[in-house]
Amino acid sequence: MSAALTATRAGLVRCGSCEKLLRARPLPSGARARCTRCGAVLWRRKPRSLARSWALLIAAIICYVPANLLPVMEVAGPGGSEADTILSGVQAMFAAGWYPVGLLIFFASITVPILKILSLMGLLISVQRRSHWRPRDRAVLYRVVEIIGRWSMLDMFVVSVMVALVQLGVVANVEPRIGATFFAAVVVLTIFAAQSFDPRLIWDAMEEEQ
Amino acid sequence: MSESGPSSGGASDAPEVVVEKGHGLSPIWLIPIVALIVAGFLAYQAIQERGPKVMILFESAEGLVAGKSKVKYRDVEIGTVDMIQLHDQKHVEVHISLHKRATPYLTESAKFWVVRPRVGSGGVSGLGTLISGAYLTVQIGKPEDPRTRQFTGLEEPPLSTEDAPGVRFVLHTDHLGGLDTGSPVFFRDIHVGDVARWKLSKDGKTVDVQVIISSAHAELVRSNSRFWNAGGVEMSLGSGGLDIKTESLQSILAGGVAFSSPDGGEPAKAGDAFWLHSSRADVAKTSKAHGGLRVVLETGSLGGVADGNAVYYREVPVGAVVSHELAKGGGKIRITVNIEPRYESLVRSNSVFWNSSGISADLGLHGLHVHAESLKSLLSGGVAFATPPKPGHTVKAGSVFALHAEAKDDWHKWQTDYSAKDEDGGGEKKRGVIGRFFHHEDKTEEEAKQDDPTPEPTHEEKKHGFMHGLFHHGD
Repeated sequence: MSAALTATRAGLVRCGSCEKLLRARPLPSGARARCTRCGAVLWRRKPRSLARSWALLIAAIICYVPANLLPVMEVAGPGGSEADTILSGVQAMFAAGWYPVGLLIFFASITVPILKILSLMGLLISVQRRSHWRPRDRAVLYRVVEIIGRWSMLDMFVVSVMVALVQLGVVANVEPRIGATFFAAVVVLTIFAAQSFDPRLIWDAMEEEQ
Repeated sequence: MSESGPSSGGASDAPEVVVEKGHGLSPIWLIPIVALIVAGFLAYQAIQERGPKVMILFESAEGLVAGKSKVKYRDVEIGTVDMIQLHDQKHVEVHISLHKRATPYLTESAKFWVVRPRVGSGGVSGLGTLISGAYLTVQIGKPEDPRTRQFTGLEEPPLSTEDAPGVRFVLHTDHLGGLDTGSPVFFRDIHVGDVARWKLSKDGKTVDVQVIISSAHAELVRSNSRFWNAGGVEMSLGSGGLDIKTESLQSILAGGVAFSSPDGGEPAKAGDAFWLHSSRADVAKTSKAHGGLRVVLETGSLGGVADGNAVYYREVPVGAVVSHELAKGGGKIRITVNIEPRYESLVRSNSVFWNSSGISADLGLHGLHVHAESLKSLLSGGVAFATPPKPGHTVKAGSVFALHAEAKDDWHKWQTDYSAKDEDGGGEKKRGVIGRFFHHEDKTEEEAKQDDPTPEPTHEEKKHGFMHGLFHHGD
């Protein structure tokens, strides 16, 4: 990376709200800077980016366990009710021969969240260790994680549509279960964790080298 | 960490930032803490709720699905089948995990069985499993018995009536005749109890059937109650026609016991023994203590009268034909009839009996007069009797009457009022009923009618009298 002029080097900071360019100055620890024009809090990098990302990510990892162990939905029919976890639902779909749907749900509900959590962990660790390893690829990875986030809500879409549509009283009734809440929490927390992460941190480590 | 940065330089014409004091640890860490607490609570709960795991041996796991089939107690889910596997050549192991609360009842006296649709002696059960699939159910053990985690499942439901509340009686019988545990016991076609169990008596000559009558109905069983096997359909094809009797659809399928309790008799005590007759007709035939008056009718020909036929008094069934036999020498046929206790006093020394089977038609001067006692007697035969307006004295059991082949015309018109004579006698209650039936009719009017040969409005009046009786009854 070339050592071109950067805002940091020039001692400048941009207001994230009104885009006004301001001259930075050293702050006492724990203090915050505000924009002179709009009063928004200023930052050169997202504030506490790593801490926030870590906190949200850890919360997501914690929620991931009950999200997979507890049933996400319960189908009640005249012959009694049956609660399905995500995995048992996928299993049931495979058993019924619905391979495309089963694969889709498996991918969206199990693979994607795991990959997302692992990717974010990798990004956070690499930034903390000021790694120089393939920064461009890491930046791409970050963008993918950010974009893909909402799509792992697919399972929640399935549950909510089923709950809304299948309300046939005694014949068949679908109800969400606590697992769905945790699963939604995983998705939301990972989205926020990705958002809190400041990709510029990847490059900061590179800049420092020079 | 992001706020503190390296010192500034250049672009000095930009204004300086405003400095403000910040906070300590980021509140963002509350999120994972909350997540941890909630998840931890759930995990704790799951561990707390985790109940015992039990293995049950069955001969067949028909209808059970690992991971799906439930264990229910009183129709409440208390566990799930985790795994099914072979045990040995004759048994399968069904592993179940139960709710924690079931723990104290998993003792040696607990019994597990599979609920499947079943048409059994206790009726049709488990129909719900046609849709839901089979499930396991349990009769919980007594908490004081030793605990165990291994059971041998029952292939058939246990005697659910074993501990059922109610009063127990014993019935002795020659043949079990389709009865089984759970067969219903009827009183006037109402289900009042069940057969609890049966066993052969020690000498092997009779079968002892234990029945449980629900406490609410236990007092219907009297010391003189008659029990009979009401299983299946009782069909008698006599010379008079076909007679079909059954207690209920369920008893057709599953057999059953019925009983009747004649007036009088003390309430029976729990454990009292009764004879279980093979059929309703058998009861009438053999029940000497049934109460009622037995009289013998002598006739030259049976004329369609068969055992079990009704005895009518003014078209009201008041008794039954019990048996018939050839008299000594074969000259006559002796028919024994039994008149129900409350109608006993209708039979008087001067009563006349006739064969009411079929239709009697008289073509006389006054036109065609068709007479039949009732549609039933038309089909199956019967005996009718009447008493002249001035009733004689009451008769003793075993009195002999002649059975006429048909009624004389005026016999049908007798509307004898017994009450006038009975005023002084005992047994007010019994006669009260009869009195109410007839008392409104004016005697003089009645007698006048008897002189009148027109077979006219007796019908109307009778109806009227009956209605009147009904209202009186209501008073």
